Amino acid sequence: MSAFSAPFLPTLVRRERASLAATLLAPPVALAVATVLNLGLYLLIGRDPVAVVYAMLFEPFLSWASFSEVLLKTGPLLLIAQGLAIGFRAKVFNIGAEGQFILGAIFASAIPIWFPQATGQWIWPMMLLLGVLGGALWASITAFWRVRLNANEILVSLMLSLVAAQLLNYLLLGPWKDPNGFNFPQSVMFQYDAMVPVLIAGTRVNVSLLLTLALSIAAWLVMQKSFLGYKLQVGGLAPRAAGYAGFNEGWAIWLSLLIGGGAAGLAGAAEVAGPIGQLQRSISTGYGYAAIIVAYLGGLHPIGIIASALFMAALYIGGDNAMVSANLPIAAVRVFQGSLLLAYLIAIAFVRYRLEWHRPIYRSKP
Amino acid sequence: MTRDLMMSRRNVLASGLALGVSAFAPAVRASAPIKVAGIHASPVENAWNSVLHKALQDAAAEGVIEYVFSEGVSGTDYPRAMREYAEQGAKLIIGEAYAVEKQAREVAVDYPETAFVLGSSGKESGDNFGVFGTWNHDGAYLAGMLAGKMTKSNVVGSVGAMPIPEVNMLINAFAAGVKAVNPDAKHLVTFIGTFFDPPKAREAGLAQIDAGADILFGERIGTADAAKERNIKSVGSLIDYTPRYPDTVFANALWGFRPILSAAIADVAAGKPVGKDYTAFGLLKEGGSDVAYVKGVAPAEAETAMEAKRAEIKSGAFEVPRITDEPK
Amino acid sequence: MNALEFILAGMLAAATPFLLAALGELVVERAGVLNLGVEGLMAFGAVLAFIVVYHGGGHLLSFVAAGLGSAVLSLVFALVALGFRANQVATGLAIGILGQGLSALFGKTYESLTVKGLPKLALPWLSEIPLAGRLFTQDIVVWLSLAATLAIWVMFAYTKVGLVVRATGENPKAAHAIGYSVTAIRFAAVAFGGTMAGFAGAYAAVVYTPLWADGMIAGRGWIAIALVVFGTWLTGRIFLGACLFGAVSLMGLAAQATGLDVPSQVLASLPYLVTIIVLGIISADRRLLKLNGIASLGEPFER
Repeated sequence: MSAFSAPFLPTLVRRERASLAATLLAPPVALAVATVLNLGLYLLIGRDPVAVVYAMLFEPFLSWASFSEVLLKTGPLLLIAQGLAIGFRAKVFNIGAEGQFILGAIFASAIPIWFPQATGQWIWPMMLLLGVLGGALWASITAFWRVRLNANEILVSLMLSLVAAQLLNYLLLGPWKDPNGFNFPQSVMFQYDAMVPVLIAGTRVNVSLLLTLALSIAAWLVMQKSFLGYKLQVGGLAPRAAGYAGFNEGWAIWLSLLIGGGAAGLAGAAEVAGPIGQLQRSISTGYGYAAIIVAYLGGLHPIGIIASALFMAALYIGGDNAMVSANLPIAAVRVFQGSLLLAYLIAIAFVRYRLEWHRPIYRSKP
Repeated sequence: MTRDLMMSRRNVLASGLALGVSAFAPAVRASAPIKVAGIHASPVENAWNSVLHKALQDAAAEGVIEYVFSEGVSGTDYPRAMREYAEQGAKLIIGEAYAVEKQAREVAVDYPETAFVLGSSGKESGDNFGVFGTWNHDGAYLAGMLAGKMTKSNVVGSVGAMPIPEVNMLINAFAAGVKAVNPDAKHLVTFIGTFFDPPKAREAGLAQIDAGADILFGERIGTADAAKERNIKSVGSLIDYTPRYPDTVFANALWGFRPILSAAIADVAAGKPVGKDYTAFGLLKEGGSDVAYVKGVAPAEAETAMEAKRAEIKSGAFEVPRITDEPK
Repeated sequence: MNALEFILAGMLAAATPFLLAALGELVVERAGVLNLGVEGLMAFGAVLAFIVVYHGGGHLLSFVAAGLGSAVLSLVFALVALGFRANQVATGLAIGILGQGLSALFGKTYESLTVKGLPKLALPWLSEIPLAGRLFTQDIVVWLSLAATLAIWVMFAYTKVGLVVRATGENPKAAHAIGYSVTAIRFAAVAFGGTMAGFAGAYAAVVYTPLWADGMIAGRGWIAIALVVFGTWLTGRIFLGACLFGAVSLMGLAAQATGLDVPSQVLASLPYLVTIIVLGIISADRRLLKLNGIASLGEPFER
């Protein structure tokens, strides 16, 4: 009758409880599967698979210069993914982090663009705060639509991301264009005090990474150890039960989206006030979407996400290395990311379910 | 300290590679080719990057340089790729600084031994950071001279990405070429507002055709498709599009990178600082920009007049006006 | 004057890539599945179609290849999201990334090459009408996608297949209880959606702008997703929406060509803004949502 109860196909049966070992094993297994599949692809397009794997998966960790770039890239991915995961666990699917990231960058840029002469150590912290505000405000549109208008938050947050990209274009081609910038769609370069201080001399890693790690630990404490985290999860997983217990589903949605938006906004602010140093069109190379992958690869767990963000960042850096040393086209990195996530989603299914093959049924005689 | 350590590791790796290579290479070259790295923000098949890529490949084929490259390196990854190649011992790095103007200059400061010559909208900096712009307006002007004599509706159109100075200069030069031979001609301009969307460039071209244009100048790909569909002629930019649109694109405003590259290589070889603006080497009179056209499409006297002007530009007697204001 | 004629003439063709992909996504969502990978599916179809035409395979074969290729890719989505009950949002995004990556990889050696498009066919009498005549002079794919629109409308309005697909999305448990395989129906719907997205990509790359360039889908897949919502999951409204989105983007270009300047960002974000507003309006009224929305959208089905 059903395709999955057909005699030749197994059915998924939910496990009583998922084992911790299996949960921890899922990401490396997915990585192994994705790696093997992609190696086949590299052979097919005539690249040396060993050189690619070396450049992509090992090289990022082998030199301090490379690794510091990995850390730099980890920052925004980690921050956004932590924020999103809180929502995802509460079954609030904010997939508009890209837009919230952009709004955070825009809000933060307002200070150096409007007050290019301002000096003082208050500037960059203020920018980061404004970034949080910008991201949270943009996400609050989605929250309002979801809670008050009952609209699907996936679609609203996605559409808002596409609008945010146009808003950024508008600002950069219009009012916020650098007057001495030869008409290029980018803002003025920010003054010194508008930049987040560098953490490790000689690299581009800045203080925002510490902030990100601190927030990750905070996320872990809140989600695993506090009543607030419990309420959020119950609100998402069993809204009716939550309702009986006196928690409000709308409240969980608002909180999830504001946290997710705020974190993405902070990441956006830290990018413009960090490695980029101005507002421009390419402030995000899809961090908002990549962070969704990071959140899932990390099992939506704050500690897991630290690992997956680090890994994803290394994959970006490794992909660049592979281009330089193994002449691998950049598109191959995207293929790798996509197939890795798919492999993980399958692997995690095996953690949650087991396959049950239908044995011939011995029927009693009529 | 850490960087020194890492460099030595890389040097070991690199020299090992070099040994492997030189064992097979014929040992007849007088001077060793210079190690040049190309860092392309887009795939090398992209029109602009293909011009750089081809010049670099040609130079490599002639044995002048040893060429390695990466492509599709964007945003914050770009400075990292620059460092990567500098660490690997590239003597000259060719690329584009458009989205990373400040960071690219910072990298150059960190690697004083490496010469950087990048496409940029800003100025050169220090001894080892040179810049170049994309000036193929000489070719655009000359193509405009042909178009001006060919239009029957007396309306021509240009489709560009965004009103940035180089695009403006190019479109203004095309318009100036048209007006030079046909002062009454009307010139339409559309900016599609994005650097990449060929279907939109096509729609913009169709809009201009419907507004009366019978020759299109396509700064963006996709424009020629509109011309092809409506059986009118169009002009290509940067590279020669005639083989791809044989009956449509009758002229191209070519840009040549080889003179810029050669000048930069010469400076590196002579140990001279490259911190200067190489843009002018891309002009027609240096052998950079040019017009490529299908003979016999434009009236013969238009071609003669154009060739005469081309000779004037080459000799330096005439200079195509450089107007960077947004064309209207 | 000419601007109106230009918009009338170009509207249908401009709408076709959105329309084809949106019709496919409509069937997918009607069956209760949310596939956000449309952009990648379109890109994958586009490059396959281009490669086929470039090597002389012809347009018919190119659409077949694009449809099949994107269908296969969408079946990977179905396997992961439906077979293994993974999160549909994450799976859809992964397929989108994979499709775009594969298209760039396959298309690398074809970058900015061109092929021949398809001729425009004039309808007898209608194409002679002054001003609006060019509305009736379109390539065959435009006519076929109009036919597809009609077919899908008929399917949902009058046929049992349409009813079963809708039931699967509205109340999968009930559909299962009366003997339909929810999973099989959803697999089929996703494959259909993939095929249509492949056609949409093929149209963009071998008919509308017959060239290949990495990234040429340029967000049209997202517009298609917006369109399904904008059209409140109704075939007729999706068609009107596609025409509207097509016309609006052409309007901006026509205005520029005649010397008016409209900020292109406003026009570019219009489809999304309007969709957000429409979504707010229909969702706010529970009755409207019940009429138009899909109860089980994006939720895995477990017996």
